[in-house]
Amino acid sequence: MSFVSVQFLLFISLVFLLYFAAPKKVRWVVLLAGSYFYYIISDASLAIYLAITTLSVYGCGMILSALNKRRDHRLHLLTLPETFDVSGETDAADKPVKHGDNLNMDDEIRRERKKIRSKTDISKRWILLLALLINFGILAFFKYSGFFVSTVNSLMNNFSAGASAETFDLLLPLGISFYTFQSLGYIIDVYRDKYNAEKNPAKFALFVSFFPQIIQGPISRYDQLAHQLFAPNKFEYERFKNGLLLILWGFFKKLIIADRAGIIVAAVIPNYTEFSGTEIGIGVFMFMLQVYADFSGGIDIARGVAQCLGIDMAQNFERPHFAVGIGDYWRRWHITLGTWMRDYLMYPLSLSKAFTAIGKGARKRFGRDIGKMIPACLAMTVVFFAVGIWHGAGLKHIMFGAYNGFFIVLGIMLASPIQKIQKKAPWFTSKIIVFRILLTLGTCFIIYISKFFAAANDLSEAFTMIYRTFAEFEIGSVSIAFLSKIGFGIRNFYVLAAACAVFFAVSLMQENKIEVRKFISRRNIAVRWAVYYALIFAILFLSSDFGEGLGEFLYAQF
Amino acid sequence: MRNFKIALKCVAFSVIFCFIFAAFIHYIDMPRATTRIAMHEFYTQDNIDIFFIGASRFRFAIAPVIIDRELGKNTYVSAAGSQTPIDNYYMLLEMYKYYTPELVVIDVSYTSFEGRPNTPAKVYLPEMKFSKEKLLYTFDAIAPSHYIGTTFPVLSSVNRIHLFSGDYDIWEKFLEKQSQPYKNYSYKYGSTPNRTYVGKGAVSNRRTKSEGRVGHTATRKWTEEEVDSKKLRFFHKAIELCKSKGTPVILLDAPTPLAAIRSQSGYAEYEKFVQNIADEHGVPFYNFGYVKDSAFERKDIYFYDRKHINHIGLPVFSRVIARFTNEYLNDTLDENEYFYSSYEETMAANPKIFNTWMYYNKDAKILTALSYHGDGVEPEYEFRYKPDEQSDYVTIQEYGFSDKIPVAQYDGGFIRVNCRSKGSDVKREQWDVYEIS
Repeated sequence: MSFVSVQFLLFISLVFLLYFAAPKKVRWVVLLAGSYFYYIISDASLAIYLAITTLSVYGCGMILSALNKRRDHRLHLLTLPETFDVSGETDAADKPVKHGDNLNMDDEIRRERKKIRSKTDISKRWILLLALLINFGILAFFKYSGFFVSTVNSLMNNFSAGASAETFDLLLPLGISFYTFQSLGYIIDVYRDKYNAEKNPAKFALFVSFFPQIIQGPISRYDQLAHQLFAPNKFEYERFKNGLLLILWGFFKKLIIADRAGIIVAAVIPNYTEFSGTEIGIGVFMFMLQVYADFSGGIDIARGVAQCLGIDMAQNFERPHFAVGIGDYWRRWHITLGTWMRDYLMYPLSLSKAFTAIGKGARKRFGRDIGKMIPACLAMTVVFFAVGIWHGAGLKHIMFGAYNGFFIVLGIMLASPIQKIQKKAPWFTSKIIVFRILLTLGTCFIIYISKFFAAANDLSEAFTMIYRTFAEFEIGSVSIAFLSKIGFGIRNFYVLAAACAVFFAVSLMQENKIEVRKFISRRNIAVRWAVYYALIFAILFLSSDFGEGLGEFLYAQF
Repeated sequence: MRNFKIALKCVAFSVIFCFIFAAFIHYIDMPRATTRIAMHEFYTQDNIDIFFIGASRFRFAIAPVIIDRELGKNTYVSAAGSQTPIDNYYMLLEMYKYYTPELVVIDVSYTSFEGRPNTPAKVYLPEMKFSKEKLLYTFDAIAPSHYIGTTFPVLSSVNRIHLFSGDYDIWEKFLEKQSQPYKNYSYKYGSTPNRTYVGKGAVSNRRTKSEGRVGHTATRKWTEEEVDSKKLRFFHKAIELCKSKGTPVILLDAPTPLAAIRSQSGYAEYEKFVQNIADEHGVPFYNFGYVKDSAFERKDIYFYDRKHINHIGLPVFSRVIARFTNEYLNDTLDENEYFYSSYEETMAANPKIFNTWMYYNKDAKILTALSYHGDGVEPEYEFRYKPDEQSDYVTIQEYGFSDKIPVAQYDGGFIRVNCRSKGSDVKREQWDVYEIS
């Protein structure tokens, strides 16, 4: 059931109705039933993997929580003044402690605490490893086995002609990357003792499967989302109306902009050899537009649906194309993946013994500044390698990650010299509008190049396309003939241009801290309704029908 | 009070939305253009003398303008794709409100009673004048899930939340809807690149089969258990209605290629089933599946698929049906002149190859040629090969050798099979092509 189908509209209407009509205590049950219904209707045969993830993470979470509690209990017993009882599991259990022998006792306690902690940590690590192995294992099997087999085949063919393993195409379970990352974020937090594991398996199942977010995120955090899911949210007219507006805005971006740009992308990119360099460049530019409008449109629909139900989901985009650097871009683009990578990969790496040792060594050898920089750069390299891999197997994805990683590392390396320059020349800052525009355009250009890797079929194709775009670039060569060649009518072009202008205007308002929905709601009723009707009828009459089907959102395939 | 205001606002918003929506649809949507023109013509006749009613097989096989010219009468064919006996009944009711026909010819085929779910009323409902019967029709013909689609036809095929496909040029349609030809029901608006509306409900289909290449025609087995009881009930009601109005009724099965009859499992049972209905009502049933070549020769090029006549067959069969109905009305019809008496007689009287095709065994990489044919015929096959579209075929296996050909050695290209009756010296009777990929 695609987000942009009539069935989905009927489905969410029913969910809204049942949710607010249900007794407060069981409202979350309506959400759970709705979420599983949505998943099974969409992808019944693969629901088993969602169940495996839910059960494995729930089980491991419970064990981790129990281990944490047992450890805390034992540590608590250690602090009791009269006794040293640790449930008879250590040699010290039956030894009474003499009052006044504080120095000796503190040492003993410290040793015992350390022992308890390390013993618990070992058990916890095994449990965490098990959860990670099961779930990353499933994810890797579905996402990377095809690539692995084809790589093995090509290697085997190099050594002996005709020898090859059987290739197979696996149907990726819907939203597997998103719910896997969300679940693993939860288990790592429980491992870190950030919060206790959810005791109720049904409630945990809801956290994993909440239907608006399951296809393409956002990747939510348990401590931010769970209490909202389980709370008996009341119907609030303003909130509901805002949610509906957000859904409409998502439809607008997806159906009018992304799907229309997609027509150009589908015509140019797979057949790039038939087009001039400038036309390839336009095709990739349209891809950049399509990806953003498609992904952020889908997220807006998801967040809008959640908002109608009284649930605020994490924001995933903050106008990334207004970014003034690659670091800034990644803080605005797919925010929930970025923060996931930061919290669960970059920080642990940076704080790991190996990285600390590297940092110490680098500080000794290269001085304080560079010594600080090297572990950060290394961690970022690993993170962006992971981001590349997250997008898919294959060299082009790794290149996509490496390319972005390179600019991030460059940003880290240049941060200190830039700060020094700014001290001497305070006007050299992105707060100055000209600099800001230049930085934004520069960032967009760097991101634009990265899209060649994402759009192309493979790495060599990406390089060929980049080369041709710039070597054969000639803006005067683009004419209406290009549009008719790809079957993209001139009216389609006007609609796309007008929709992009609206999109840009709204983004600009948001960038200037104007809340667009509030801005509209302050107008008089005629203006307000005119905006609503314009939005609805634009969607009904001007949407494009490119790429229909359940997996039609580009990020649903991840 | 606040809740009341909110509710009032919601209602007002919805009402205005519906008005704007209806206005937009009125100006830019051009649905079911053929039915629109056909129904306009239906309501503007002086009288209808011969009323043909059925589904797509009548629509493509009977051209009233030809029959009118031949007989000097006024005929009309009320037949649309997937039209069911339920549609037929209500269309007959509507017809009797305005006209007094001399003859009603009801189409019957082995798909007439199939228990497929009702499609939205893509037939006559939206264009039918409002009446009590129209309401009854709505509830009888349409599954509840399709009520919205019937009320707003533009929504009937909506899956995604937008109403028109990407290549639907709203502005162009708006202008077109205001144009005089559209307002005057120009036939252009009832036609598509492959189909031309030829007046009074008939459509000429321009697709055609190559001579000698009928190809595979397998259909589902017909069984009485699969007959939809509701459709059967309305079929009976339609006959009773005509009889109650004193109009003679004919049940008529339009012609199909012989291969389709041969491949239709349960064809004889189906024929018997319809004959029983006809007998029950005392009306004649004429099956053009058993038509003699002397009355209407079923050439391959007269059909565009396994059951529909095309633009070449349309005038030929229309003349046949004109003569046939004329003879029926004048009581001079000699059934034996037109039809074989049974399935067995039809097969025995046509000792020829009806069609041929190939089946590919993926594991063994072997193509097997198959065919349907009349009684007393043994088929033989010749295989030819060409590596690409531009090359010429080369014979790779002569007639009389085998019905199988191994194709493992071919990376691509086309295998053509020619089929003829054993002992015949013609180059081929039927042929087909398989693309190796």
